[in-house]
Amino acid sequence: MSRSRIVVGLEVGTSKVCTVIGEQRDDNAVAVIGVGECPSRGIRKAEVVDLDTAIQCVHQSVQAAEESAGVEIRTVFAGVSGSHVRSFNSRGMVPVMGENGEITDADVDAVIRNAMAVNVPLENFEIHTLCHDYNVDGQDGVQKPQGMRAMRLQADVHVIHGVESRAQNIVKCVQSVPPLIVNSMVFNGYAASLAVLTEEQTQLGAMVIDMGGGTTNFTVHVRGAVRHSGVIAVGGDHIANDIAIGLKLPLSRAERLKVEHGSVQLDESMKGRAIAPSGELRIGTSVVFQDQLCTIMRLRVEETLQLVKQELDDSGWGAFIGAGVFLTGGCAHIRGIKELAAEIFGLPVQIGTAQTVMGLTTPLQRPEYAAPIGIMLEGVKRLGPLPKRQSLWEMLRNIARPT
Amino acid sequence: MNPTDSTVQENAMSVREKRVRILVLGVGGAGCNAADRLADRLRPDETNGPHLVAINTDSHALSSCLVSEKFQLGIKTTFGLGAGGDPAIGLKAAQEDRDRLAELLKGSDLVFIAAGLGGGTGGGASPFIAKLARDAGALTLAFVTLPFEFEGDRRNEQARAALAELKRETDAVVCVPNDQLFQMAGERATVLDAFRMADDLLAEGVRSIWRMLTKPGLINLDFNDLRRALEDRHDETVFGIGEGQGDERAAIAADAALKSPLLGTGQILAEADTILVSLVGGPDLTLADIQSAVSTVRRKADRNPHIFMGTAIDEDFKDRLLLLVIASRGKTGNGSAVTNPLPSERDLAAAPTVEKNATLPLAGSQPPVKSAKPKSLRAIQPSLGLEVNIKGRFDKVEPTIYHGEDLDYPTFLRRNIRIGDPNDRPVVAGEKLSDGQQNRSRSWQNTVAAGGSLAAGHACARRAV
Repeated sequence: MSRSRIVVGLEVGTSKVCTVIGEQRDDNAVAVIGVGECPSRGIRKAEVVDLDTAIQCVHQSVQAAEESAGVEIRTVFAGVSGSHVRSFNSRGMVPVMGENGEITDADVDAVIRNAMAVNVPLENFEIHTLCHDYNVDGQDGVQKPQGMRAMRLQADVHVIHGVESRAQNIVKCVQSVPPLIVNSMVFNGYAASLAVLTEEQTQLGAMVIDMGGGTTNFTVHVRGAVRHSGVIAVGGDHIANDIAIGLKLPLSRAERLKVEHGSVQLDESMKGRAIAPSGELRIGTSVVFQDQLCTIMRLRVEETLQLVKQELDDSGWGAFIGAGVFLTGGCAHIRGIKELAAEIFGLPVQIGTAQTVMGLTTPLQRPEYAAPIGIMLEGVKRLGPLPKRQSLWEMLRNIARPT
Repeated sequence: MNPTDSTVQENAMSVREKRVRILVLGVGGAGCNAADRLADRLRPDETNGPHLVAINTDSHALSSCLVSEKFQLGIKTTFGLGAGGDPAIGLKAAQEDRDRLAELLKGSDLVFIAAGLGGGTGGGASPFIAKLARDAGALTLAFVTLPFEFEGDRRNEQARAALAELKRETDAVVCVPNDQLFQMAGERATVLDAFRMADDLLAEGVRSIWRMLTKPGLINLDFNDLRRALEDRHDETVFGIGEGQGDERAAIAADAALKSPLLGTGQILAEADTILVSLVGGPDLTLADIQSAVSTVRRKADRNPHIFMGTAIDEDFKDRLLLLVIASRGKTGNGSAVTNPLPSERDLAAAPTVEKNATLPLAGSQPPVKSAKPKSLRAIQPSLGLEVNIKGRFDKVEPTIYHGEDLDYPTFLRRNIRIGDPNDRPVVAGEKLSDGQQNRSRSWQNTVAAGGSLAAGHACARRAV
């Protein structure tokens, strides 16, 4: 009998609501066994603006995932993003209280609490508290201090926090679909980096930019830990909106033009080339030239990436990005974005897709699935390894000799 | 016009002569530290600058203060031992010395009060002192800090009560919670650094206002403008300072000022309805500099605010430019009802200038206009001249404001890049684009430079008493 656990990641995104069902196997490997997706309505900039329609989308997405996996789901991990999500680095220090000066779990808890003590505003809650490393009596870079002897324990942490009431809208939206229950929240940007980066890349230094429909989330990993993260509430919707305004088109048409003819690299051949969305008669509609379309797109994408680059430089970790930049999210599909990003960052740029799961790989090797898969992976991490299997004999023995 | 000429005291009353008497009071422990810092900065050449006084109930702390003029508050009440964190004692001490304080404040035109509100002296005495200052006819501005969250509820509540009190008694309060300051100072900043930054910020703010009022300028911004911009602005007043050097100094300075943490990374600016822009430059200051700086600020403002601007020329500022932005958001509460009786009484008592009467009706009529304006009536930037709503689908959602720029407006509009009417044969896009790129790379360099100068001293924190 092989045992497993079902873990679900649910991203209520601006352009799609995506449910990823993973199975954590006996050997703690994780496989994706089902995916469900539904175009979003009632979400702007990664936050709920119309609860009722958003609930319907969650419902459809979950149903589709359940059908594809053949399981029923109850507990999910939900992604959160939006302009309210912030992060900071902090250092905590406590005297070691354990017996014989040995560091215990309680000391580690205390030092992390201490690190968070100052900075989080009252209405906010911590989404992630990620520990970089510990410093034990001046010795830097300690990964696991439990059991070491010391007088003093320091911890450097990266805290990602958000406004509780705004994050609760996502929880409410998901929990309005019975029988779903949200276990906890995961920051989409961090989730995308979890799915995309290998352990080695996080050591080398990497930045993951998750450009979705409504927000651009970024996470910087250096030496195996998150050093910086954040949200800029600009995404693919803004590009389409710019096009609609600049070329005086309806939004739906702007969106289709963006997908079919858009690019952020201009070349001579585009100049004066009239374009139209496929399947649309050109007669009677105003003419759109490709160079106009692409100029608008390029300006927006370039600006957004430059803001991210500025965030990276301001954080001071810009020089430590050895493995390069990874683009995920729907905007990673924009033609020429990889080259544009390489130009802006001066670093190797790749389109990031989920690396670290087994299962339905090919259809999942798309940048927009990085975040929901990452949410699921973070869920696996939070739930911990499966309890060790006990043989019948061991069970009986335990009953006979309770410890 | 020569500010070094201090012989004719009587002329100091005349605003036209640009001799405004500025009094800076550091009240309580935190306030004295800030005053110290300012004294330190002013010492070499600006001895004729603002008049600094350190006020404290704790004689021991006061004696270690660098400011030459010290004011021992409430010696009978506290025996020089401090207020013990009790604002009631702080208030009592101030009341005891009411006459001496009134004497000190007499004849001042502009009074800055620096204090940390968590303590007894800062929290208790400063509202009282502010009231006396206003009674003496001075424009009264308070720069205060709120205690850290971890200092406990009692202290925080005390500080909040003091803040409310202070808002009633002053023209404008610039209030900075220590928690926020600490974040801005950066995670690795030492406590000392963070406090120093706070003191620096206050010092720089006071100094630039002083400079603006006393140095000759291309475009005058006088005391009455300042008064008009700040009088009775209780709701929210913030300021940011930026400095730039070299060819792009105006843009660099504007950028740094707008990114100043106290401006809430620009959010508050976007909602401001009065903005005061003051430039200090050297003799080589050009009109283009002024235009560039002011238009940068104007672009960030969302609500079509009333912009006051002035420039001053300072010989020391060769090839440099300092920009001070003071923004205030109209009052939303019912504060005006409480304060209305005060200004008139005060103005009658003070009226040091002829022009004052002329500005009075304006100053008085401004707040009601503002409070009557519904929040949803957003001004569309007129220069863009588009009849449609230019935010498109983002019209009704919370704006994405990032370093003072509303990113929901299309990039090409914000950059003023013409895409061309889709129905004429448009411009050569390649050309357009390279244009845009140039702008961008330039502004990018600016922001790097500005980031540097920002870190150099405009994040801040201050000790609670």
